[in-house]
Amino acid sequence: MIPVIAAKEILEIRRDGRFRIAAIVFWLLSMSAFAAGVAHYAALTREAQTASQDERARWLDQGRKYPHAAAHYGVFAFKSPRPLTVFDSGIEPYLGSSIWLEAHKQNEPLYRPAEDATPLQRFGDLTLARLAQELVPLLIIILGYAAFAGERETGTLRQLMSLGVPGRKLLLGKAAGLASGIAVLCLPAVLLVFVSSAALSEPQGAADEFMRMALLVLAYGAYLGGFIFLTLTVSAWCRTARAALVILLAFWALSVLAVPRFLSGEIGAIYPAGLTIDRRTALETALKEAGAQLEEKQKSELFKKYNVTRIEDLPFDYWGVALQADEEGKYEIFEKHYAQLFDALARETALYQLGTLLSPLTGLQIVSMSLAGSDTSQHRDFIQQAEAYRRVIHTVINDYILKHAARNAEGVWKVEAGRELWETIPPFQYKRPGAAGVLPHCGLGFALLGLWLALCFAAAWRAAGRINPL
Amino acid sequence: MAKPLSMMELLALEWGRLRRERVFWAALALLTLSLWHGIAAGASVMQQQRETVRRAGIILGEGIAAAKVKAASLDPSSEIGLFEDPRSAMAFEAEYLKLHDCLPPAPLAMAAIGQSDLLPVCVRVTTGPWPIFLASYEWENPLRLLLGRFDCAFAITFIAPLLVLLVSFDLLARELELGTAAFLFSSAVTPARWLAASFLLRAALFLGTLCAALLTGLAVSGFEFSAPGAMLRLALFLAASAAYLAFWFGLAFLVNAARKGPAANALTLAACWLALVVLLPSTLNLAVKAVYPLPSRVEFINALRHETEESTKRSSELLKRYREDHPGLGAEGELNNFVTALLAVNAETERALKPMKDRFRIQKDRQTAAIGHFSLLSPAILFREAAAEAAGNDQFRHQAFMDAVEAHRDQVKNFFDPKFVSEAAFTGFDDVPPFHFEEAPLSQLVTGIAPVCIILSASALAFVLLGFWLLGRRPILES
Repeated sequence: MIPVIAAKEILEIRRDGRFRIAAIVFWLLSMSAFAAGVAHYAALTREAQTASQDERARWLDQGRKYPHAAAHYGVFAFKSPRPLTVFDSGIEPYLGSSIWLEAHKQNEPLYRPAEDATPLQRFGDLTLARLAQELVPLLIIILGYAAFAGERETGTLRQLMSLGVPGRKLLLGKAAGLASGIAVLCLPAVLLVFVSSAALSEPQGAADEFMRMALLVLAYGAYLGGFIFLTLTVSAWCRTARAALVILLAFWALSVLAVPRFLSGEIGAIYPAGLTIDRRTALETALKEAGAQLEEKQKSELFKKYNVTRIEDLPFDYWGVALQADEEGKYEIFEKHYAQLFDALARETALYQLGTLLSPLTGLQIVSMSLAGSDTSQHRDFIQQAEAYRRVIHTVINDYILKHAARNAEGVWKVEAGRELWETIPPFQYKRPGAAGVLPHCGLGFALLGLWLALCFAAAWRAAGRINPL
Repeated sequence: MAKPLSMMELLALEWGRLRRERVFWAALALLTLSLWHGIAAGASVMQQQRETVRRAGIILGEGIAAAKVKAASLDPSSEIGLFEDPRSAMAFEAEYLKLHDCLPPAPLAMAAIGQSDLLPVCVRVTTGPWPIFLASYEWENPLRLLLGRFDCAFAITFIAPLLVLLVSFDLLARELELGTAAFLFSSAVTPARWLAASFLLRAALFLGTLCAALLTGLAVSGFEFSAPGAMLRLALFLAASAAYLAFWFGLAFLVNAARKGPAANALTLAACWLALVVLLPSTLNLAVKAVYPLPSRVEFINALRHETEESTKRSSELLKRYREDHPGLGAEGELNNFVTALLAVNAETERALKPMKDRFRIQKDRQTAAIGHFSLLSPAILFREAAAEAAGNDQFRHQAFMDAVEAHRDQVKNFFDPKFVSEAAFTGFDDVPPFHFEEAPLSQLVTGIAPVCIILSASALAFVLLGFWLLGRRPILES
């Protein structure tokens, strides 16, 4: 009986002029979003690759110089996007993707794309994820608000029930019909994302990308499935189709528009970040003080060990040791500084996911960004890998100074290095985290999306069991 | 035949019905709460910006004071580390002078946060190679930037139209559906007059509530009514808000006049809202970025590194030329030559990169011009831009600020460059050129926002006139 009801629903949806118009608009928007996503991904990847290669060539060809001068010249690390950012660019427009790795300092990523954009950027990027998150639930509502209420108004619900059709079978049939209509709508976009991800992934990362895609399908399935059952619940409860439509549109507006913004603002108030200017000034002051203290400590220990009173009398180039000690002494300060920033973001993200209890979109946004690799945790991972690489550069360089410096005719320690040193430092290669590493960041959102689906299904089941045909 | 009811009598009649409409009063309550919440959120951001500006002043003062104390404590003949001695202009500029140029929030900044949570409020100014590799942006949760703020402008742009549509989508259709239309329109009232009175009353109450909620919210949040330009900004903001809501009431009137069923009306209006407020701005953003793409920042960094490398390789030649162009840079010596060569290399790098830097501006201007043309298609874009302009958080004010920062940076560089290579002890701790930002004249605000109000109001009027025409085409009871 359920397949028959579903087939009848599908037939009605197919005949519905609104569905045809909605499908055309949705496909046009999907194609535009997809094309823009692919073009953006290709441009970013190409630019990052070219710039990384050029940066490497400049590093190797910088000629002979004092190694610490090369450390100050530094290198740039560029982040290249994941293939799934074609689907969901997440917070990428609001993050810098280039970091200057220089001596003494762990710099912040530079040039957030949104800063260069026009104010229209704040209306949001048109991405496939956004269409699925905001537009598809609206289409579900438009196609499904009259499922029970409309039949009640026209009297066909009474006829159906008088024939002995159980309300719950009616529910499952209508849900299957509605889901099929939505699946037809979304299928081209899903296939495009699968194909593009397979084509854009490196061979060794393809399995991970497919795992992420499978999880994305699950998450979006739970989200949209919840909307289907919610729509049918409200339609079963309401006496008129008009009332069902108004209630569902109000829920959509609240859950998609108002609640995410409201929550993110309120969470910011719960975890006040303080002033950026103060944080940066405090970091500068801490680094300066630590530098002075470290130098004093270093000197006194070395003077004591080698029984000298001047650095010139040490049996090695003091700066090889001092520069490395300076670097290592500041590691903790930088780690604390960045940990404070990112831990605060992680706390906010966790709390934001709890918002799924008010709006399922909040949980889905975090899950979607995490799996697409366009969330805060992956950005933090990039920053940490870049910093680890910066430390390698400076350890190798300072070690070289210590081992190769020699006194010149005036007795001053001198050292120069060339390609032989620059080549010992490997190029920076960002290794993207696997899907398993992502789950802890969005597990809560995943679980709550499951709960959302279960609650909506339970409500629909209950409403269908007690449906009043009059 | 009964005497036709006057408009005042109609309004009184409708008021008696409206008083019992719970959905209407709930919508007004929701509008008020949204506006109050938006103002509170905006006030919090504005307070943070003010505090940032205040702290920047304190940090600058503390740095200069520390340099003076250190300089006074040093014996004239004593030598300390090169970057610790404030008697060296280089050390003072690099280690003591924490110079920030700041853009103070305008009086109405709390009404529309605009781009101000994304763009820097205070920019660190240094004389180092341009563009400096110092991030100036405020550390804000990127998720919050992505979602946007629940400010007053958001409440009016997104939520208020939905509430307007909620209370007006089925005014005529409901009467027809309930069968009361026959009674209502059989005597002294024409459908057009009755619908006009219904809309007029609802619009007046909505606009009154909007103004009252805004004024009370602003007053409680510390809005300085007496600040220069504050009242004009507020008046323009209210005018733009009123015109925007009028647009949506006008559209709802037109859809009602088309005499479809309640569900069809709701779907039509929801589709219009979705297209005009959500899809069109996002699609336009996508199109503008595709048609006028900005140069890549990664490529810019790559070019900068390349030009720096090339300039460094030619440092001897550049040093010679720089000395010829800048006589009086002090006697040649190891340090003097090193610093002068650095200045020469930086100057050459800046010169070589200027065309690329200009390309960003040219493309951005093209994008802005394109949006200016196509924003006429979306009332949401028109209103958001007007609101941000009234609040002083629009892109033009910020661009003017960044231009002023760049000009100031040149002044600071011109002040320090000769002192970097001078052997004389640096004493000009208080002589660093101050930053000055000239606000655009208030008349520009009027010329920027008034056309938006006129366009939105004219659209509303056109919808209403079209609605009257539709209502007059055939008797309502034939529907």
